[in-house]
Amino acid sequence: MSLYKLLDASELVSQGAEAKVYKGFLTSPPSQLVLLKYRFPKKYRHPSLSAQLTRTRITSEARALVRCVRNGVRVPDVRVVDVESGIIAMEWINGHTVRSLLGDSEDPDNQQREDTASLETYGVSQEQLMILIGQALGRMHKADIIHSDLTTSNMMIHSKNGRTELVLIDFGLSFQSNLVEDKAVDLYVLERAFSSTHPQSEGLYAAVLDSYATELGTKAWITVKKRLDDVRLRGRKRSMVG
Amino acid sequence: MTGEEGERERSAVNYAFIQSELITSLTALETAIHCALLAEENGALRTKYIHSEILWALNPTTNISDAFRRFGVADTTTSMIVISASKLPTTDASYVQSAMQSVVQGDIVPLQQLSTDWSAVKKCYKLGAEPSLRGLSIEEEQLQIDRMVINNIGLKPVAI
Repeated sequence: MSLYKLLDASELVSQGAEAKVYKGFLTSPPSQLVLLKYRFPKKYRHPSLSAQLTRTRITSEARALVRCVRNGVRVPDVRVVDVESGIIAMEWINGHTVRSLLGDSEDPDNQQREDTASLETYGVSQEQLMILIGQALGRMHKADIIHSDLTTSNMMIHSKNGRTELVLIDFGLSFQSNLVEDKAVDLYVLERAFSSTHPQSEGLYAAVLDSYATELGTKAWITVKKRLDDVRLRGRKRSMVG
Repeated sequence: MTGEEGERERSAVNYAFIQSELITSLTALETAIHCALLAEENGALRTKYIHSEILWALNPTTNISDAFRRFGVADTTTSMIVISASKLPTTDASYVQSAMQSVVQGDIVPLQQLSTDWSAVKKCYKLGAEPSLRGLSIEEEQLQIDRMVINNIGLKPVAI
């Protein structure tokens, strides 16, 4: 029951089909900002099914986040998980999405705030940013975590104590897998996202893959690379024939 | 002790007494408190009282006596954190503080002055072989340990 009360005192940041995202505090007087992700009950589902799905999804999201932390991937810290109400509280990342930093003016994150920033504000070049992305993805895949929704809007840059970090967010669709196929599809989805949201920065993605390869190690990279080439030819979905 | 006398004795020490060496940061402590409060609110306490629940939330395993042994105070304890959780909206902080002082002999210091035993933390949460700790400076390592501890505590209710 208790975390519902927090939602009333928090500010709604955005709403999707699955969840609402709020910005608020866990303590009063307020100290650290937190993000509250509320997976509301789905009216179109049977109540018990809705509750069951929310329960498993919130648990798997929290587990994926902690698994990332343990493997050196920077993600928001998990603070409180309430499976009863479907709320997960995590660290508020005070930064900008990579999408807005790569100059996408249509980015909703960019439109609703005044403090638009550029890469210079964070002191990183485009090339350095690509290296950071590749490194994070490499570490994540080494830990067998598949994000499933890699886009430049699900990556943020933030500065803390003078250090600039790349933070991966939204692990709502993530799962665990050691299959080369899943990793290759993950990379392919991001590649498509890059070319459609940032058509002007073509070629940047190659730098991401380079740094990903370094992080993963040559041996593992060769198999992923081969599969990525296959995926590029056929698309994200595998043929269901046979 | 039983009966009225026992009640009085118990209410005099109705706090969470926590060994401060294993506390990595205020955020870690707050996370444990939040988890305990939430469990209380949901009627899902795993231990008898809210104060023992805070110690349980801090401990990486689910064993209650293990949590008391690690995070509770002992005869040798020289620095501790005392926490009072209460539902009464009128509870006066300065009154609680003076009540605490009457049961603990010592000085009150800011939390930042309490030192953390980082190698004990590493051992307690079994972080020795974590891939994310490789090749970090001492300062970075402490930040990363703190982060893993916070996440461990936050995840605990759903990790089991």
